Amino acid sequence: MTRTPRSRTALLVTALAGSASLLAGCATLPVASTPAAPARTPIVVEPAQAARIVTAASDALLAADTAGDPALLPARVQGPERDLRAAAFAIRAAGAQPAGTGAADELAPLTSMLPRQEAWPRFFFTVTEPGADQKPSLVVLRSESAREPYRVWGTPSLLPGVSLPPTDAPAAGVDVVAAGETTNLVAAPQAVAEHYADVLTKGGASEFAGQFADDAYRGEVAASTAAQTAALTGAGGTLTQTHTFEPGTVLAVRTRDGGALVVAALRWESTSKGPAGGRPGTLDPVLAALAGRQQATTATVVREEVVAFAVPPTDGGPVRVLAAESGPVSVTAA
Amino acid sequence: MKRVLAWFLLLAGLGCAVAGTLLLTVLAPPTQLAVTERAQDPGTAVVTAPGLLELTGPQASLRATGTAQQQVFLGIARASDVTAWLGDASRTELTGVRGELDAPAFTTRSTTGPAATDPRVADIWLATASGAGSAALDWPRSSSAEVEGGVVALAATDGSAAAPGTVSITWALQGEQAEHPSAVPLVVAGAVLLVLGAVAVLLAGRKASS
Repeated sequence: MTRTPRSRTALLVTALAGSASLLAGCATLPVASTPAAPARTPIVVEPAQAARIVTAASDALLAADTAGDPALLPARVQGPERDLRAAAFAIRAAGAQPAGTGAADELAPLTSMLPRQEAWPRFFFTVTEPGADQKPSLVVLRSESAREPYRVWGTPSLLPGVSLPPTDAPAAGVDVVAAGETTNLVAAPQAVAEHYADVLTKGGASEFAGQFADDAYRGEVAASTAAQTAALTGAGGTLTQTHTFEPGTVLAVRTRDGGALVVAALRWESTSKGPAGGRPGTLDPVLAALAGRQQATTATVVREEVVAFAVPPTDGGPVRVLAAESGPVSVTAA
Repeated sequence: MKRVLAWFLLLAGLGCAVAGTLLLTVLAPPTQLAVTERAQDPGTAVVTAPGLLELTGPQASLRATGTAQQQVFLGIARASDVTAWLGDASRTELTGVRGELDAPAFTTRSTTGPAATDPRVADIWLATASGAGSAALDWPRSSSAEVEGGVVALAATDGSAAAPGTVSITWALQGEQAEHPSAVPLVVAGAVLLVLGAVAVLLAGRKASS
């Protein structure tokens, strides 16, 4: 068989055509695929986000405290913490020495508890290095909506000798416990706060006194109240005081032991009256700064309190108070 | 007849090898996929659909460009958080990519509505970038895997003024998009056919001479 140039050309064309037919599968644009829905409710912020938020809050606290300007607080501070710090600025501006919230302005996180929660308002807790009172703080940060930043809501200091109940690692998240939820708890978070307010008001006479282990904060409040009462009654005056739960302030997460870590705000209102017809007494400089006067015959002091509780699982013993902060926010004197 | 078949194998192998080599070199697809959206009225924000950032490649590079006077914001957040942040605000959503590799475009969906608020105030962002006139941000695909529910990107200015008019995303192409799917098989097939053809031609030549 002889081959002509024409047949060779035909062969070449056939070969190239065969090769070209292999090119049928051309490179195409990739197609976006929708991510799978999460198996669990996501945590409110990722751990790295939480760290950035705490840094931003810390910077804002430092700037506001350095300037002593309450107008700088709302950007990153809200709720009881804003009231307490604004009052502290006013006291300092009047030349008195505020008791202080105890928490460091420079928030150095040790660990965080990041709730698994979809809806707003959202919150998370961060335990920070000791502040001015040499005690670590349980910093509470809240965000009211997706468009609002997390703001420092409270910085109660851990009480001496307490340990936080165990929780999962920050990235694992913690489940939120509703204010009225009693699942596996000795009491619902809101009930715990209400009962503790009653115990602070009535002391050992409260019907709920047995629900709580002794704690340093309750001891301080009882001692302060007793001292003031003794001083006023000795002069013929009176002291009345009540602690009430602030509705809508309960924040709670499930702990690893099946219990809950609960934070709530209380309002402590005390009214002191001098003897009828008596001469006005001199107010404490801190109270005078808030009252705007030095002397008065009656004074009503409103303090805000933020208290953290470890609520044990059913049959787990009494509720422990973990952390607390309080301070005067307003004084009405006459 | 055997001689014809031998030459056919040889030439077919050569053709395949040449075609495969061309597809791996001068005719290779682009290494990157760059898609740009230019909108006259983008609304308060330009936002990507879930999954778009992870379209292909190890990372997505984003750039948003407005006027020189605009402070441009680029942020990446969990998809559900951005949905909550947007609310009913006006936006342009980049839902996917259409067209060809060498001339791609975004598929979009526009929604009218009120303005939002300054995105810089919110704490939902996993990563952000801001700048006068433009902002750029790289988002590794591995970071998306760490976030439950998927992430999206959002470009805006101050949340009340119009969003930046130009938003582009560039991905490094990977897998079937990064190289022609027939290229390597063609080279391999060409090499095999060349060897077979050469052997066949030699054998046919030896037989003819004997």
